[in-house]
Formats: sequence, structure tokens, C-alpha cells
Amino acid sequence: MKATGFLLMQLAALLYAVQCIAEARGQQRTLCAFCSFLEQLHGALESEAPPLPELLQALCGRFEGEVGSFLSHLCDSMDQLGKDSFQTLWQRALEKNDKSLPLEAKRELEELGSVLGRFEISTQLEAIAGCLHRLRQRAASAEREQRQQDKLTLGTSLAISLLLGIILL
Amino acid sequence: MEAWEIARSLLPEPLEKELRRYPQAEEIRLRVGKRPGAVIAGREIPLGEMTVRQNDLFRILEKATGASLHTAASALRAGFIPYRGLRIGVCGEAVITDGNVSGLRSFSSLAIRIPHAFPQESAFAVEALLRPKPASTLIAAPPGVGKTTFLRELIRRAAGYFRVAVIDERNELSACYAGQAHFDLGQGSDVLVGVPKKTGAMMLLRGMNPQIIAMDEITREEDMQAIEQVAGCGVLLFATAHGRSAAEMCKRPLYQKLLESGVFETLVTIRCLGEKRVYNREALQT
Repeated sequence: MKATGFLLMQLAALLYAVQCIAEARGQQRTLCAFCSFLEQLHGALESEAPPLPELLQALCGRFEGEVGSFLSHLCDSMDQLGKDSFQTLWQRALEKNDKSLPLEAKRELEELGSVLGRFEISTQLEAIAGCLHRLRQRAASAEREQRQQDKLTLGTSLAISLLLGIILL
Repeated sequence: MEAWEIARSLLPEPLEKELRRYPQAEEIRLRVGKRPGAVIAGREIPLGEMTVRQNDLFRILEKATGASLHTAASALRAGFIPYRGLRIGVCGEAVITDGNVSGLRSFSSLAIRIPHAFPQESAFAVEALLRPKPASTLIAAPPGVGKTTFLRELIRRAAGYFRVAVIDERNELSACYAGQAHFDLGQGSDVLVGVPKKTGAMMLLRGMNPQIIAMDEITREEDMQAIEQVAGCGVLLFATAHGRSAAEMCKRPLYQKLLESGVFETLVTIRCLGEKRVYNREALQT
């Protein structure tokens, strides 16, 4: 009975650690997907400079997951343009992806929403490139930290559960 | 939707409510840090008590360009953005690239010009130009008096009997969107939008076999070349220019050349008399 309890405790700790790691990895993937979206947005604006709603609609079909859902929310809300500013619509669509992005990355993207469609093309491209650069930096450093964090989370969870097990037994 | 309603739909709510009282407004003037105004019969009156913020201008331009100011870059370089038949004049800080104006930012003023339907009591002035047969006609007036409105009506009526090809360089005459003209230019009209007059004239002469070619605002030497091309092919011309009278226009070299070229047989000048317009027709030597 005691042994089963001990094993269950270890299993719970392991599951918790795996869940934490998976969540962090998910944020990492979302961050990379947003980077890829910004790359495509920059490329399209630089080469053809189409109207933003048209471009976002086209990009919406190319992305799945969190970016796809963000773009889908944004495109669906475009008929509100005029009543609400583009910045507000962009911010609302980002808020729907509440937990899938690290907070700082979300702030970077929110700021980008205040420039898109409002200025001449060079200013918009500069803002996208700046945001992309910062998100990439964040993704790279997060990846490095994540590897260490994974080991630490796994080790700490197992150590605590082991300690708890020993005390209880 | 009427132009006045379209203009209202662009404005922030308190201003939109104020404008409802002035269906005769010809222009809406918005200047950052100041009270908005409406131009009625050439005079500006205050429009409500609010103070215009720069964000209000951004919101209007955002709506007018579908959150894509970059798509209106070339129009913006010329100082205005066309929106469903309206003309939104823009002032701000110029962005200079390689010595040329490449855009505008830090917007400080907007002037929304609202086109009005051609007054039916003035229809005779247009009809008289088409009977017994139309002639090449130049329409002259100072800004904001109604040259474009008159030309639009002339095209619409002429297109009932003739093939009229329109070079709508700034999309003001037709306000075309998705291939459809917002303003009715008549059954027999073909519209070429966004093309410089000189290029447009050649395209229309080659492709559309027009009997009349119409174009708005002759302002540059290249426009003069377009006129000479059209006249050389035996096609009639309807055009507009800034000016009050033939005598005044002759003081400017381009217009002097235009009037002395012998291309136009008729000059129509328009002037304001209170809220009414007075049309004067004179024959030019050909």
C-alpha cells in the first residue's frame, strides 16, 4: 500500500513536471509561429504592399494553431473597423491568445498594432522588422533557458516528491 | 449612400451628430487642437464644441484607407486621399526621400470635400453644350466651385448619345470601386482610373474608339500633350482647368497655350453667387 502511494506520488510529480515543460514548449512554438507570421507580413508588404485586411485574410489561410486563431479573430473583426481602431481590433485578437504567448512578447506585438496600416510603408516595415528582431532574440534566449529550466523542473519535482515520500513512509 | 452620408460615416460620433444639422455642407475642416468647421456657401462655420485630436485624424484616415494608409501613398503625395467620391485633403509633416516627397506623417489637418448632386435648375447649361452637336469644351472655375460636378454631368448627358471615354486620373469623376462607378457617368461611358492623362489618352484612343474623351484638371505640361494627342485624332474633348475667365487664364503660360491651341471651341466659366452657381459660356477662336 505504502509502495503504491509512493509510486503514485512520483508519477504525479513527473506528470506535473512534464505539463510545465509542455506549456513552456508550447509558448516557445507559438513565439516561433508569430515570428514566421511577421516574416511573411514583412515580405508581402515590402514586395506588393496590398491592403492590410486583404493581406491578413491571405495569411490567415497559411497558419494554424495560435497564429491561425489570432488571424481568424482579427479578420472576423475587420467589419468593426471605423467603429473601433485597427489597434483595438489587433489587441482584442491578441487577448484571445491569452496564455499562449509570453507576456513580453505579447506587449511587443501589441505595440506593433499601433503602427500597422497607420503610416507609410517604410515605417511599417521598420516596426515589423524591429518587432521580429526582438521576438527572435526572446525566442533564442527562451530556448536556452528552457533547456536548463526543463532539467530543473524535472529534477525539483522528483526530488520534492521523493523527499515527501521518505517523510511520509 | 449619398456623399454627405459617406462623409458623416467617417467622422467621430460627436462630430457626426453635429454634421446632421448641415446637409448643405460642402467641406468639413479638421485641424488638430482646434474646433472643427463646416464650409457652407464658401464660408466656414464652427461644427460643435469638441477639440480635434490627432487621433481623430488617424481614425478618419484609417477608415478611409481600410487600415492601409500605404495603399494611398501616391494619392497622399499629391495631397489628398479619394474615398468613395469624397476627396480628403491632408496636411502634415512631409517625408522626404531622395529630395522628393515620399509621404506625409504627423497629420495636422484634414479637409473632407463633399460632392453635391448637380443642381437640376442648371441642367440647361449642360444641355446647351450638347445641342445641336457637342463641341470640345473647357470648364474653368476656382477650386471648390463645381468644375468636376459640372464635367460629371456633362459626361453623363453626353454618354446618352455618344461613346465617352473618361481618364479619371484621381478617381474623382467616377469614384470607381471594384469596377463599378460610384457616380453615374451614363450608359455610353468607359472609365480608365488612376492613369496619367498622357498615357490614358493613348490607351483610350487605341482601345476604346471614343467619340469624346473627358479629363479633369489640366495642370501640367504632360496634360497639354495628352490634349494635343486627342485633338490630333479628331476626337472631341471635355476638360476642366483652374481659372475665372479666359483673360485671367491667359496670364498663365500653360493655360495661354491651352486656349490658343485652338483645340477647345467653348469655354464655360462658373462662379458662385451666394449658394447659387452662375454659368457663362463663350466661344473660343479655333
